[in-house]
Amino acid sequence: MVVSAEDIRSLVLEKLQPSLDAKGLSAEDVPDNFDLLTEGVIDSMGILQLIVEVEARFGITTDFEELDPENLTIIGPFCRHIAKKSLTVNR
Amino acid sequence: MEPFFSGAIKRGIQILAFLAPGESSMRVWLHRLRGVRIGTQCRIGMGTLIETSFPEWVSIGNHVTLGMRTTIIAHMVGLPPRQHGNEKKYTSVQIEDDAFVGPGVIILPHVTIGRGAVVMAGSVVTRSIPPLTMVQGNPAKPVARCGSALLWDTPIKEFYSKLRPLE
Repeated sequence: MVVSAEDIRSLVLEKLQPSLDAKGLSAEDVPDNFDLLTEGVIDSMGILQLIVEVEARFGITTDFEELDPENLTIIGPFCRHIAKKSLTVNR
Repeated sequence: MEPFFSGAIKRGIQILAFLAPGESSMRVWLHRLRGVRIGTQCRIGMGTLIETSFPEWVSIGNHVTLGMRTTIIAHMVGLPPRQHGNEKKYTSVQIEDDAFVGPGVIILPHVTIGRGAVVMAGSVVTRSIPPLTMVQGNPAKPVARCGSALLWDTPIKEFYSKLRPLE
């Protein structure tokens, strides 16, 4: 399945809505360089849950070997990386 | 039965280790003095309690990190050691090389924490953990396979990027 970065961003923000609400943020307020970890929106378990959710929803297997680890928890690069991977896998 | 004076000394040193500075130096040294078997380059967080009665039943490998307020219990009331007359060599809790134990974890008797395993904060370890496995909760259950060990100098995001969730 080919998915766009926007689809992934929507799913991620939907799943994180309660944490974003707690910080007084709406999905539209979240910038591309928003670090989910350092902003206190997700923790270690949150990362695992995000990966499981994305894989289940879009039927893809994630792999972060080619992603700079620093960008793993930054919403923009994270979503674009998975979208790019979905293209490679489905080619 | 544990002799009174040696027991009191072990507990006195435990109190010192509980409060002492030096996660990789003084605290480690004090626990070794009590009888805990500890490898090289280990870190022990503040407020850690390692088996008050039988510290020699705890074995900790190399490059192990114990987060602050970790509690390790190696003996169980009503259950004598498995090797009578050889209690000094008995191991109840074994933490293998490169394991990472988060803050506030409770480790119960007769468990082995495998090489490179990670125990998440606040978990209660009641069963042995396979190598390179991340566990969480009470009782601690496997949540992910680790692509690498979480060592003191491992960037956390690099560690996260190699995690594979378990179903």
